[in-house]
Amino acid sequence: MLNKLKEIRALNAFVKKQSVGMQRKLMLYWVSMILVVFAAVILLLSIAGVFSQSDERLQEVMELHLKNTQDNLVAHLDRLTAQSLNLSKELSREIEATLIQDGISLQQVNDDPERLLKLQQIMYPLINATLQAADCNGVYVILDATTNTALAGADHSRSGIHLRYSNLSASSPVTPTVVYFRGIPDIARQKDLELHNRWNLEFDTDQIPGCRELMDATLDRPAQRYFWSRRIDLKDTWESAMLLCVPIVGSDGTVYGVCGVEISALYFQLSYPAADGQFGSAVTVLAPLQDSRLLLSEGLVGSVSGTYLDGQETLVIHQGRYYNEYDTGTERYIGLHQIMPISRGEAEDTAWAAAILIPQDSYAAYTADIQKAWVMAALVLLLVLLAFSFFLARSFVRPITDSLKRFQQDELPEQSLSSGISEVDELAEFLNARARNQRLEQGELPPNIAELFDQFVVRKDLLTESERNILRYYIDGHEIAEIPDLAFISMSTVRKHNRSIYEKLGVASRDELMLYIDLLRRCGRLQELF
Amino acid sequence: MTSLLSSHLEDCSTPQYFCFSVRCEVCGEYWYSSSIPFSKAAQAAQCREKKELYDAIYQREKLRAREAAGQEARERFSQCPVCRRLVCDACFLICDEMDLCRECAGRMQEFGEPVAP
Amino acid sequence: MKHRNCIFLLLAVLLLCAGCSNTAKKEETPTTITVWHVYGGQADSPLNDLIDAFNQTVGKEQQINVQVTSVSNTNTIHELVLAAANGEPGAPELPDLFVSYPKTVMALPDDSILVDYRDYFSEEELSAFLPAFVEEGVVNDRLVVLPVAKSTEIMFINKTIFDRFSQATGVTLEDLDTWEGLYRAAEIYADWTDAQTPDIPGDAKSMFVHDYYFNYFQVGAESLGEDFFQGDGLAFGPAFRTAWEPLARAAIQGGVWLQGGYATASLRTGDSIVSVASSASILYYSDVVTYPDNTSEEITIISRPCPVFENGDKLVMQRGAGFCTVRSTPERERAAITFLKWLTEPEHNVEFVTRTGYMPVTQAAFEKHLPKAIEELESPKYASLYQAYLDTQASYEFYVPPQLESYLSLETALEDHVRAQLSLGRQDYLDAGETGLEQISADRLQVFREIMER
Repeated sequence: MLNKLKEIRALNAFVKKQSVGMQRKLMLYWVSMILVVFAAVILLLSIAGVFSQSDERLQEVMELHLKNTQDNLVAHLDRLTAQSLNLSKELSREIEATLIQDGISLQQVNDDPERLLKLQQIMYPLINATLQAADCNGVYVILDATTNTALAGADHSRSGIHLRYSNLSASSPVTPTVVYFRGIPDIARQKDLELHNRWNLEFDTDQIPGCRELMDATLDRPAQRYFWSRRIDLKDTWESAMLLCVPIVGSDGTVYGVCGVEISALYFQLSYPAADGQFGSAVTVLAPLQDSRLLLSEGLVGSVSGTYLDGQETLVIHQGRYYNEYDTGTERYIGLHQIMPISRGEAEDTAWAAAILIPQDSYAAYTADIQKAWVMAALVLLLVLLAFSFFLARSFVRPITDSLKRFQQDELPEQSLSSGISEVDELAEFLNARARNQRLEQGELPPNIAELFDQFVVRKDLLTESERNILRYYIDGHEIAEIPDLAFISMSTVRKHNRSIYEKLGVASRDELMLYIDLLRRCGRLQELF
Repeated sequence: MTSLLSSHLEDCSTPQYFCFSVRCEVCGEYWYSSSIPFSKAAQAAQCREKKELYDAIYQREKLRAREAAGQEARERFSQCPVCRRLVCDACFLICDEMDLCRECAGRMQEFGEPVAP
Repeated sequence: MKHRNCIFLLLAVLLLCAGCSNTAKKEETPTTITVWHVYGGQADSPLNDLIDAFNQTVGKEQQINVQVTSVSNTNTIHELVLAAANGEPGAPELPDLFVSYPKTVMALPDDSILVDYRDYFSEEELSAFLPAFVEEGVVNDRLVVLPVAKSTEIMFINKTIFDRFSQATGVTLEDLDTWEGLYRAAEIYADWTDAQTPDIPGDAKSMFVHDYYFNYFQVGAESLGEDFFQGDGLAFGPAFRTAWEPLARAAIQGGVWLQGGYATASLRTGDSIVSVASSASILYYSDVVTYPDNTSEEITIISRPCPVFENGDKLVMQRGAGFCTVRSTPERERAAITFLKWLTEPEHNVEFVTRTGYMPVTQAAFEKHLPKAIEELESPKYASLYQAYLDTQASYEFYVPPQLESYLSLETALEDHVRAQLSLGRQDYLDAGETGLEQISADRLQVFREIMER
């Protein structure tokens, strides 16, 4: 490992020492410029808020969604309240009529199973009608009277009827099954209703906080005081529900009992499906707000599909710029909530809020998606720009390098090889001139004389071997007269050879020949004759 | 060359003039040098008492004439480098590679022009 | 070149980081699958508890969330499933899983909407189940109903009140071992209760209630060696008479509860004290009876094997709905199968069945886990049930109903009309001043036959 590092370092140093090629340098500058521009653009965009767009969008979407949800919830609950108030009035009328008819007060109905049955028979059709017409899964009425005052728990046992739907599913079947949850069983048998498996004859008013107080109050009209209970577990069953408690008010102001509708956790879940958007699943919540906490276990939660909510959590609320954060401790959700008044005249002030929640993870995934998209786009753009710059640099540099190469390879750069780039041409011109001057300074022959020499040298190839032999004697400095003695040939032969030599070398006389030879000798070019 | 020629010079002198000859070893023709008259030819003939004197002068002039003849022969005789014979200009061919006597040239298939037609 | 490589490397690393963190987040949304089941009715639901346990463990690991969207009864589910499958207006959307009998599957227009479990369970996995149970779930050569719990018919008795009755009249529990004995006891009970209010005539209380007269007649006829079915309809042979007569006698005298509703309801209100019902209804038997005067009495419920005819074999119905999985996306199907495999693991299977009064469905569950679990049962009610169950398993034969096209319609018709005719018979009897029992019984049988044979 260390060796590798050393190697790399050595290589790096080596590379640095070498001068960087034109193309590389140009590429580098281009790349730097691109990166700087990129960074600047990104900075600008983030200032302009392009990247926090999704947060803003989310806020818009959520505000709209919350408004819709809240409107729906308000409308839903209002309608139910109105129907319950109506029910209360009708029940009041019927009960009062019966009591007056029999000449008794409500107190006297206690311990009288027959009277209770009669009253229940009168109340049943109203309850049933309300159940059919209302967007809820149960309707009930509790009379402030009991079948058996002598029993141990008689003070919190009250007679009444509670009808519920037994089979709820996502889309309510056209003919839902009504089940008899509380009430005198004779009615169930008469109406061919199934008895709930956890049926009991009477209500346990201790299970409904605030019910007792409502029945003890003195009111003018039912609308004066009513409330939605917090979510309560239905005794011995796996279900829980919120009950609307509306007093049944007699004309003298006494409260005959309480009636209302039931929205079970399951019903609410089925009525308010999770809205699956691009940001994740949005869950609808109706829950009490206390100390900046949303108590889901005491309210109702819509369908939680796509999330890990189980409807029992307490969410700690952190306010945010665009949206709030809701913290269960183990998971976080983002969303918005709004207070909505759903009760009236309640003793303890419970603030109810409608909220929509999105799992933070799915939103984070969405923004991560967007971020990824941005990153991908930026990357692709960067790559394209880099490639572009590479090709541009190359096309810019290539003619220069080509002409420089050609420049190097040429021996006689007499003609100015135009490279298309003025600077290179100038350089070529300059270098050519300098070369020329340099040659002259070194005592080189002017060009036309050099030509003669060149020709002379070239023509030496025309000589035959025997002629070259004679020439060699001359080069060695011998006179004509010495040749016969040296070469053992006659003078005539020598003369004949001379004539030939002069003719072939293009000289007029021996003097000229010797001049050439002498000059060549001086230029050091004598070798060329051999 | 000169020494070679002097060894081949044949004396053809008379008491009146000096003359030498060289024989071409190829064609067998004799070449005669320019006669150089003995400057004291008349005197030699007349004055017999100075004969030795005139003989010495004759010898002295003959030597000179011999040298001159050698020079003249030098004009027209070559040595074939192959057979090493003394060859007159008519039998000596100027070839591309080397100048040869006519016989050697013919034998070795070298063609050329004779020095003298 | 070096610089460029560096830049590329950096960018690649950045991209990788972005990609990794992204995919991790995306996969955290769980696959939600919906379930319609019958285990719990409106009482506590042990299956809901098990589903919660699954969601918190395996569900969290594999990002599966099982949501119960309906807890009702098989009839309701049957209706809803058929409505949904037929695309009737107002029909709900089918869930991913629902509990059903093969009869519901057979009534479907197209059962290819259901998953064939052989695609998801290997041979080895399937061999862990009791073969008869698996076989029952095969419809049209496809295994579409996966057994998770089996039940049989059991006689439940409100021991507290029965003891009072027994003390007063000398009727014993053993008398109830045969149908004939049971109906005789019912007649005595009717008299006994009527006599308690001498000034009110005809207010005899019924002792006995049966949830499934169709099974009573079917198993009864078969146990007496006769075919119950004849082609698409019923064979009204002598065995049928043997079954009808004692029942009619007791019913006409008011000893049999004929109003609708499950047996548990009438026991709850004290309107009857002996019932024959699915062993699975143990869940709905309350330990309290509430009388019309709002007084409540804590009672003890005991279980005994189903009565048989004096001359008949010891034969008893066995049944049990299973889970059907609806085809959808591969993820959802796999999620559903994961849940089912978890549920049928011997450990969880036994936990579930012992809380609901069912039998488990795998060999391993029976042999290894059940005996241990029975010992740990705290409730005497359940202990009694499992004892009765073991007794049944020891000496009775299980009857597997045939898969007839007309089974369902025959069943519905019989249930309705038997009760109707017997009620009319009772009315006739009262109108006639409590005379003419035999004739009324014969008449009603005649009418009943005519209706059924139409």
